[in-house]
Amino acid sequence: MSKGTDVIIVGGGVIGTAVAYYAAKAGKQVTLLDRGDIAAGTSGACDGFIILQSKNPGPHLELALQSAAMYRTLSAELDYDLEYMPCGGMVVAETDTQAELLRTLIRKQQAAGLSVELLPIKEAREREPLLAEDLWGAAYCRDDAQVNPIRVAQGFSQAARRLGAQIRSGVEAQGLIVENGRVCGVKTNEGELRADNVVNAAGVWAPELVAPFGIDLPIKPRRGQILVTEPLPSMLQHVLLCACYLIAKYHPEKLDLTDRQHRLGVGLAVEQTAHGGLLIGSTREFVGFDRRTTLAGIEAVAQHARRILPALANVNVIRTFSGLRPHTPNGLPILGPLAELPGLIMAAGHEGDGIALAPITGQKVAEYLK
Amino acid sequence: MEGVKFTGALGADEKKQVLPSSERTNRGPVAVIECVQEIPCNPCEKACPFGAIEIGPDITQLPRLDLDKCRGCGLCVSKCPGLAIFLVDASKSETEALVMMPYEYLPLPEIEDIVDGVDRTGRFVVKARVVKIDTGAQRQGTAVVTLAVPKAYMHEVRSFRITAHGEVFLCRCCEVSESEVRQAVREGARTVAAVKIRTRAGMGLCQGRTCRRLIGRVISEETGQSPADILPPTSRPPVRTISLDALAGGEDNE
Repeated sequence: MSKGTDVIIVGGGVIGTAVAYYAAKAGKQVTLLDRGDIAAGTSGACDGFIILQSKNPGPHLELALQSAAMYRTLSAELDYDLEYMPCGGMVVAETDTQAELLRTLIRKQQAAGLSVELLPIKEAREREPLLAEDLWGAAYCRDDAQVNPIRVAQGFSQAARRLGAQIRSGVEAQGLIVENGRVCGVKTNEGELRADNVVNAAGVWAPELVAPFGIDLPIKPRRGQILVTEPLPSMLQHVLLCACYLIAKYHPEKLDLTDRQHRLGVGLAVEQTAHGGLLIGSTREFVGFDRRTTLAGIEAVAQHARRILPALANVNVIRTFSGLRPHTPNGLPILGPLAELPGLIMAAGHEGDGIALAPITGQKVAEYLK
Repeated sequence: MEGVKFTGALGADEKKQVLPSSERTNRGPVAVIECVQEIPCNPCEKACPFGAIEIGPDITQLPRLDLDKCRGCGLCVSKCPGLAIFLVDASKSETEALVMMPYEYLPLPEIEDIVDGVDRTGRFVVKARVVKIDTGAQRQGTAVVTLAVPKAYMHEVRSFRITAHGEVFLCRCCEVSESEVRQAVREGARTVAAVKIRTRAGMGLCQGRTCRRLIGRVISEETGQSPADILPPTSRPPVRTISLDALAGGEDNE
């Protein structure tokens, strides 16, 4: 039996590493376990949107606003270049119906204090000239931004390590140790580890850890397939989503399942990374833990991208990849202590918002540690 | 496992297939076409002004070199897109042979520089002397460098490293240096994918086709693991770059 620590964090993605950093900063003794490697799962297979206007007004948007504010100074705080770019973002509407949906959402967001406006296509194209002329327009938010998710996880993990945290990749949490009804450690492939608190930041794999105790966490893997292009000169000024993304996210009942694009949950999400390549996504599919890309998926994403940004037709795609987003039924992450298992603190289920919400999640979850 | 398919460098049988006899190399310069994969490619055939290289109408045929027609002019050396053609000449001295090779790195060496002659996998073989550097217009951007090496190594030395300049890029697309890769391994990376996620090596245009074996070798050298036990990165479509338009196909939505 190894000697105890204050907190064990299970999962080395953006969420787990953020919790590790803020906990270590608060003076806790921290051990982070990942059975693979830092950012080897979902955090290494996603885009880097910090997008506010995709969040529902309420706690979701409030957390996102706080998180976005933290990102502005995070590279300096972690002493690590997160490739943060305050580029602003747009959500593109193709039709009147979509514009109406955006208008409803925007009104509530404006009331909640978000600076977001709906631009007809002519004005939208002044900001983003490559948008197709026959679109309806786009919602624009100047506070949207982007970051490199892999570097976020690495930046948090290295900064946590400097504060004394132990970052142990290749160590698998095989089960929880529960004594007198309280979680007090983790069984691993390298022996047992004791701690006052265990944080479950295992993303799509989070349910595995608590399933033996009869707890059925409502987190399901949802696959997103993304295309990567060759490095290009500056083409896009903003991170771009389309209204289909919001429909697939918040109103799946409005999807037309006879349409392949809708069936695969394709909603455009395009960004140009610091290295010049475009990340063009994405599908939203429930296919278990299958991380392959499919021809149908990448074809549907490519078609949709060409529809919204016709100038992309000639860019070259060099790779496709997919990641598993931790989906929850209400679109909100599961954060905080789990009543059924005292000592266990949840930090999982962010689906497509993990990057945007990582800093605030890390900070809030660290506050729960005793 | 040996051979181009497994290691990226010629195996013993493959060398036997392409290397000229000592009788031929003693007679004067001769091309060595180290092409053993039946890929669709034939610029070498047109490059030879003497008709010594033949591929024929089936473009996937391996090039056949007529050792008597080859005069050792070396024009083919810079024409092979795979950098697989060399020129070897054992006729000029008792002890040294000349090896001419394409060299697509910067900076170029200078004449009379002593460089590290390396083998087909990049391992150091022997010190070599630079005797000629051809960057003429007919070379179309590929420098052709001739090294003098001890005769025993004329079939081993196929490239070189400029010792004075230090930094070597393992991933040319993302310009990730050997020392960055070593650092990543020392920080815990044990697979090619783990190196990639730490350094970006293999994320560029070639998707690791060039660097993944080199990275595997560094992991092997640093950790003592057998190269065969080091996990390769995940392969994902497309196999080679394709335009978004082609990927999207003709009609929207089936």
